[in-house]
Amino acid sequence: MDGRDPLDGVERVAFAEEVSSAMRHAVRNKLAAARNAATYIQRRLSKTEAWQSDARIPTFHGLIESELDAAGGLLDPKDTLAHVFTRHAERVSASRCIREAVAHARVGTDAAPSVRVEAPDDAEVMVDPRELTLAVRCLVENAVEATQGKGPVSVRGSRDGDRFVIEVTDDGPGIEESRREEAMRAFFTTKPGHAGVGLPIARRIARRYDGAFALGTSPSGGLVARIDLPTSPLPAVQP
Amino acid sequence: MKRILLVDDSDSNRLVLGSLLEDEGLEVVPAASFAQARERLAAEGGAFDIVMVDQHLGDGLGSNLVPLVRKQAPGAKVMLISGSADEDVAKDTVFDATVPKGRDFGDVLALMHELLARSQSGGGAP
Repeated sequence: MDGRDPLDGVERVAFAEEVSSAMRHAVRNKLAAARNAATYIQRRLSKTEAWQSDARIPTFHGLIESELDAAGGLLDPKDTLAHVFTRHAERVSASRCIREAVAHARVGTDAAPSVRVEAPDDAEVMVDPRELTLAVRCLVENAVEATQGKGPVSVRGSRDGDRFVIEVTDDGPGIEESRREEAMRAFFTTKPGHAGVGLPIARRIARRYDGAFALGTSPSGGLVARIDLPTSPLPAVQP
Repeated sequence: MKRILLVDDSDSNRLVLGSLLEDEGLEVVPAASFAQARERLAAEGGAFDIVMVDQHLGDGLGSNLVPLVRKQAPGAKVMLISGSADEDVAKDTVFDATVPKGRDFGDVLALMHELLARSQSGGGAP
């Protein structure tokens, strides 16, 4: 062990994705309002004398629209981070990703929290293993923080039909249902010094691989974070 | 007159898109949040023909409004006006139509009329 975090690179990319996604969303909203406003002005003024007599008015209107379109084009997320990180989806053991995530979770060394891993089943899922490991690690770290660094935290992986379900459960204060959506948005946090990207990163990664992400309440009132992924069927046996 | 429930937490978007729709002879009922949209649907759900909804509403997701629309406004079609290029929209969510924010208003209008025509002919989601 050289002390290097093996998930450092993939985590940086995931953080950058959250930042750029939040910015794209905000800017798209602004551009959409401006574009619709330009459309309204055109519809109202295009038959007026001013529009007909001053060629610059329709020209400038066209310029506004084309510049807004060009600005929108700059927001295309495709390939933005391709030079930094290339995804490799492959069939991997879900349980192995869980164990790697817990092994590399940054949960303090002075008083190691209790993190219990249960993976009675295993299944292969089609993911980039670095990303699934990162997603689970985000949830484990979030859960440990919710218990003031003490735990206990339970990480459970199990099959449910043709799905594989990973549940990370803590005994912390939980998140009331009306605030869960807010908690899954980037940069929402109640913890000083935290960026609030762990849950959004986990959700984005789950969805990227046709999975789902949800928050619930544990029997003790803590939080249950659940990633649900399709299992990868075995290749057909060749005759 | 067709009635539109326009759900968007951006004041500018509600004002401008609402004005364009009103100019087309449609009645627009604005809602600035998930909670406001839920109240509107509970009060007069059956009176809406189209629900146009943004995905990120501050207090909830537009996609989570769809089951309420299906229950309280079963005749209404739901259009997602997305500012997220689908990247934050769950793949299992069923809207009747999805339009990226910033799309030409003529395209939005054409799609809306297509949904209304489908609604009148009793057609469901594609």
